Amino acid sequence: MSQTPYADALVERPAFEDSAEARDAFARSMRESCLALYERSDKLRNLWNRFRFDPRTIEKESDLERIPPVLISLLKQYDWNFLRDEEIALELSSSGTSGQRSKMVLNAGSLARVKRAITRVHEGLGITGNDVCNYLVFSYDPKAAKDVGIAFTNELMTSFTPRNEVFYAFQWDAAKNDFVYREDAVVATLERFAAQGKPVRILGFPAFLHSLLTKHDLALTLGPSSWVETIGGWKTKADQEIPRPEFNELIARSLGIPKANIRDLYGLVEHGIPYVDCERGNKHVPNYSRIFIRSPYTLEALAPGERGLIQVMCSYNDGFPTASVLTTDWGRLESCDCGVSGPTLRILGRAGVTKHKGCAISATQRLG
Amino acid sequence: MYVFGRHFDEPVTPQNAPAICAEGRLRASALARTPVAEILECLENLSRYWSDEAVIRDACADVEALMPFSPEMTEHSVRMLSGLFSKARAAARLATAFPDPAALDGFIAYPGFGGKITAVPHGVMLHVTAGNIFLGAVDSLVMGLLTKNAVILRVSSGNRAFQKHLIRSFQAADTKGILRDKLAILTWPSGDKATEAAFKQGVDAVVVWGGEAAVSAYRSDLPFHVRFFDFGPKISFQLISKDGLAKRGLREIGEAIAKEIAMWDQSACASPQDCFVQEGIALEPLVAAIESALERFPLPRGKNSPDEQVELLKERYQAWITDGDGPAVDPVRELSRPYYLAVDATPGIRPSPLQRTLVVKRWKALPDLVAQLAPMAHYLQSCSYTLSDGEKATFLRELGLAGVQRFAVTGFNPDVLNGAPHDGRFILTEFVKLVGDEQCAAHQAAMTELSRRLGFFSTPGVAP
Repeated sequence: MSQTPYADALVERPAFEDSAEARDAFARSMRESCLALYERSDKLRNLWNRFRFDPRTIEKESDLERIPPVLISLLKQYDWNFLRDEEIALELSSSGTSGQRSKMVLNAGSLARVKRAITRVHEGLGITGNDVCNYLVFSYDPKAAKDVGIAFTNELMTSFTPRNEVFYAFQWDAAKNDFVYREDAVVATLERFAAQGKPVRILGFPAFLHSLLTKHDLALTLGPSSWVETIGGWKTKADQEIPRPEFNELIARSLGIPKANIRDLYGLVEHGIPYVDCERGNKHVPNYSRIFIRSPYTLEALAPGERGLIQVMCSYNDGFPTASVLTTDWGRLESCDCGVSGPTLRILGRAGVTKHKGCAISATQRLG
Repeated sequence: MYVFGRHFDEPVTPQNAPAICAEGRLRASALARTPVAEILECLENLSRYWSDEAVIRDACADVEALMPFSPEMTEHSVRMLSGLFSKARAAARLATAFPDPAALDGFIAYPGFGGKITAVPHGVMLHVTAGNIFLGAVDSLVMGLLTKNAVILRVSSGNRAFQKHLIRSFQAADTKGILRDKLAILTWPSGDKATEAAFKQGVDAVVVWGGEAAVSAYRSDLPFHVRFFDFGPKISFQLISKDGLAKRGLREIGEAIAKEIAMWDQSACASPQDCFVQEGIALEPLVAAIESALERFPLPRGKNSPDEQVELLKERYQAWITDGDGPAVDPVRELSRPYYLAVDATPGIRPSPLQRTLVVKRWKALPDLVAQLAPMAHYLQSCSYTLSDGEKATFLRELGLAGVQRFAVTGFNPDVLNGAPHDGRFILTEFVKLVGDEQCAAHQAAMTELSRRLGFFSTPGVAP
């Protein structure tokens, strides 16, 4: 019998479900996950003990706000794994935007649940389908990047339709012992896909797609069944980021893809649940997670519309203490009446001091 | 903005930067021929201007809302301006930099090599100042003008509010026009490489105060002939020994430590970020004494920006996660406290998130302390110490060899002595070129002897 019946059942429910029963199902699964983590993770138990939080007190949706979050930078700084080697089904690291890399592990049950959740979120937004598609992925070839979270996500996302061909833009170069971005091959692949006439799905880092479209004067028609889903943020190319409507306009014009089929995904390796644009460009929170916006001055939950730190909660992972994580991203909760349920999450940028305005070194400055 | 005696309302661009620099060159030429006594008198007039209560009130009212500090800290800083401009301070600085300040006006005898020297300004200096404390920008400006350089002061966005008052003071106090048309006060966006490049081409020297990004930006692609003076990011610390503490007592040392981390909310390069406490000293009473003093400190902390607060939150979480048996966490109470002492058992100096956050470390003996500082040897600046008389000489010498560039007794770190070296050098000496005249008595005697032997030297028109 499963040790996590509530979490297993939750991901079989629709992603965007708004009912008392659905909310109750999420709260029950959170209690189940939190109890398991409290039992096995010394670090999490220490933290929750200091916050005088007992997971047995989780009974309903309104109790969730009390679950103390782990700050995401601590997940990168310390080893939080408590699984035995034989329990680990997958080990993932973040792509290291800020120089620190998270390492998290998944047991078999958690891996199955997160895959199911990611798929169902895309189903709920109408992004899955039965057309055979070609895939161009601006990310690492997962054959060589087995433990990189974003490569895992991208590989999973090429399974949302039947596949014809999948091309990864970052290929492993054994001589350089590193991934190499093959821009010429990307352009050639795009043109070849366009000539084939099959729908095309483009996934991955937005900065590389943007660079490609601005450097090459493409005028392709990939068709109304083609999609773009950007994942992973602009990272080290943040200074090149352009407003999303402008970017979508460029994509639609250069590739001949309907604007409604151009989406963005916000996700964290440490969390796993994806927040994907609806056709209006809003990221709805599925029933597999909860989001609270916290004040950095008090850690109190803020009202919808207020800007604060994004706290994410999920119940699928009983093998790593990420049930409640405080990110270092700014965001706010909003609403959208596109027909998909759930509040929406607006991402408002990275939190923290990146450039100290003075002559004293601060903790955030990189030295040497 | 302000350019050499007049207000300047255009945006600063790569197109107008060369004309600004060219005008600076004309002004620099005039200033180079101005007697230093007149400059000192002009500075004294500025000092008197900034001691006027109405001026102080007016400036504070205008800038306090825009400053990162509390209104009380801002007022304290504005009140220090009179001292920064004072003739006595400037004269003391000149005296430590030059054997005789008259060197700035002409050749003077220099006993060291038997000849004469004069101090010649570089010409037009670009001063890029840090956004932490406007006092730093003023100090840099004063040093530039005192050494007869025309100064283009690039102030950061954080100091823009103050520039109007600084300009007004020169216009009001410099009635003879000694300095008021020898400075420009400008702003342009950080990272505007084209504008930066235009100024680098047009000036004779660049002075940069600030973080690594600023220093790197102005150092790169600098024309070969342009002198560069960087005052980059620094980390400072406190040092408490058992014997030193016994001499001063807990209450006094708590107040001394608190003062140093409270002033300007640790944003100065001399502000201590770590406190190294010798093993054997009970931490709990020391921490309590510092906290008590911080509670009583008369100048409140400024309001942290949300991003700064996130850095403090990260520091707090370290304790929440590592001290599992600690007392109940009350985030509202803990995060609202305007200071934090982070006791950190891991050896090694590390930067704090500032905003009155002191990282408390342990040390056993001098070699262990030196080892803990080593990873940041190139960034070390001030050490404020509480040592016994017996320890002092050895410790200061060894720590100096380890990279420390300034020492002060704990509590006196913010009170920089007039004329003291900064970041390992006398700045005024660097802001000039020392020109030597090697005519001396020995040369004269040798010439006379040569002339006596050969004859022709003293017989013009006769071929040898």
